[in-house]
Amino acid sequence: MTEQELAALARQGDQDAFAQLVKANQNKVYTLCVRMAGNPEDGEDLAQEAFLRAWRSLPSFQGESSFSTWLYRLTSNLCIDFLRREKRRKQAAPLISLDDEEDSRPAEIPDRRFLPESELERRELRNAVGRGIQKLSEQHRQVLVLRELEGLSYGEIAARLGMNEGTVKSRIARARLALRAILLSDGNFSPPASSDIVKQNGKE
Amino acid sequence: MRNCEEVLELISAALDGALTDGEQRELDAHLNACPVCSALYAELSALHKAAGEPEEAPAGFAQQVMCRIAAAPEQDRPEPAAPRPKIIPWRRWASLAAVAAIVVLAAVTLPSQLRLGSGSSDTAGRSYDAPENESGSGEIELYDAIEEPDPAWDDLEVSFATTAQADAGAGAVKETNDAESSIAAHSADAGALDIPKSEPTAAEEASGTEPINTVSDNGAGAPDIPMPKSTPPPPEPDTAEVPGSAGLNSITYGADGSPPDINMPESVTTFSESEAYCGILVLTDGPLEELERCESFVDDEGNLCYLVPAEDFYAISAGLEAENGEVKDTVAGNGAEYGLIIVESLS
Repeated sequence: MTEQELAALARQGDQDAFAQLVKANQNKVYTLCVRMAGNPEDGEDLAQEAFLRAWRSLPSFQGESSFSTWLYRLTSNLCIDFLRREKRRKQAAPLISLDDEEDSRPAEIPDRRFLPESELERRELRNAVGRGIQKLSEQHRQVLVLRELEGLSYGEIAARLGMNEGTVKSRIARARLALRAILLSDGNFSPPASSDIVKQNGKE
Repeated sequence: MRNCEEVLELISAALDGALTDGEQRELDAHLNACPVCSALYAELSALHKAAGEPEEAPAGFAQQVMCRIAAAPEQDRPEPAAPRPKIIPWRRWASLAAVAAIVVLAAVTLPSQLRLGSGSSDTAGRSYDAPENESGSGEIELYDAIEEPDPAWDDLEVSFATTAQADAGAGAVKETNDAESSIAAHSADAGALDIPKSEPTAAEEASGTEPINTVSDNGAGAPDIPMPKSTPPPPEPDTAEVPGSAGLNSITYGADGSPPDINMPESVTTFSESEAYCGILVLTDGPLEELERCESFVDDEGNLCYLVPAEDFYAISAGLEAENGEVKDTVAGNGAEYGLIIVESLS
């Protein structure tokens, strides 16, 4: 059955049809959520929530775009919403306790910068990139997410954001540079075993 | 030979496969001669791969999702049911109608004054090409410029109200709003526009249900309408998943203190036939980036309002927590082409 047919059935309440749509889209949705959230736990929660939202909102789905496009947009909005809440939460409680797992978790970037070889190193780098993306300025994060996570072309990004392609191109380049800078500065943090305060001495 | 600053963009474009042959040659030539850029290329390439690397959903993910769906209470599954009458707070409805009328009038009479989305030279303070913030300060700053209402709008409103009074009488609802009859009068003018149309007869239908004037809304903007079922916020481990209870913190109650009926499934507004919008969403916290390219205007309360194509509106409203925006009237399939997203002034 095509995605369109499945979506039509799911709209009527067919849970089996929806289950197939979940399976077909889960990886893409999960990837987006993990990257945006910066960690797999929140990412998984977000991904589940995205599908639940989609299920509840199916009657509103007009079928003008494909189901997966619609789902992806919904997911993307959900992630942005999550980031806004996280930002507010962090603003409300700015002091970081060392016992706070979440915030003292370091970006464990191997010494050979950004050259992961083991699967573990690759996963750590992905997580670090996800966290780094969260710290980018809004303009940088926006274009980078569209390009790297949603895979849109320069032209598509330009259309989506109402900019010209040249601006998109240069902004992405600067966003990548900014992301690299963030990861480099994070790389100075001490490992979690240490009881020292993280060293933000700005070396390198 | 280009300098390193220019090469950055070539490197970035190379990662995206967007180089011409000539550019590729230039890049290769530079990288051969410049170890700094070579290292940069390697690093950016690794980050690019890491960012885009697909993840696999954990085992059992789909099953978990389906379990939650199967276990969800009835209200979680909105049916494409027949439209159900619903009380609309008088003032909000009135201001919507006013907004619609302003859009109609403005579009017809003052195209240069209409503050449209990106591209308009009038977008003071909302320039999309704002200076780059390279500090990586950790702030995730979403769109944050709210404009003062253009004084021209006030003039418009005045003239509109006067016209409305002159045109009164078209509406059939008791205590019909001046704006509503004005819409009826002006809808002819709006024929060419896709946005807010309304028919006088809709008012009759609306009045057939509950009289609008009994709804308590003292202007605090508090809806007394049943709220659509809201969802528990996802990654908050300390919040129990109680359907409908989460995310209500920001919902204000009606003037008489009656809580919104949170168990009401999503239902359709009374004036679904004439409803200008497929739905209305109020953001209290700043708009989304996606709205940048939508047509926008400033309403009489100084709020920034976006006309969002229905498809996008549903995607956006489905993705937003009730905590961040009250989904006032989400209508399933009333055929309206646009939804309205109102960004309330932060002042």
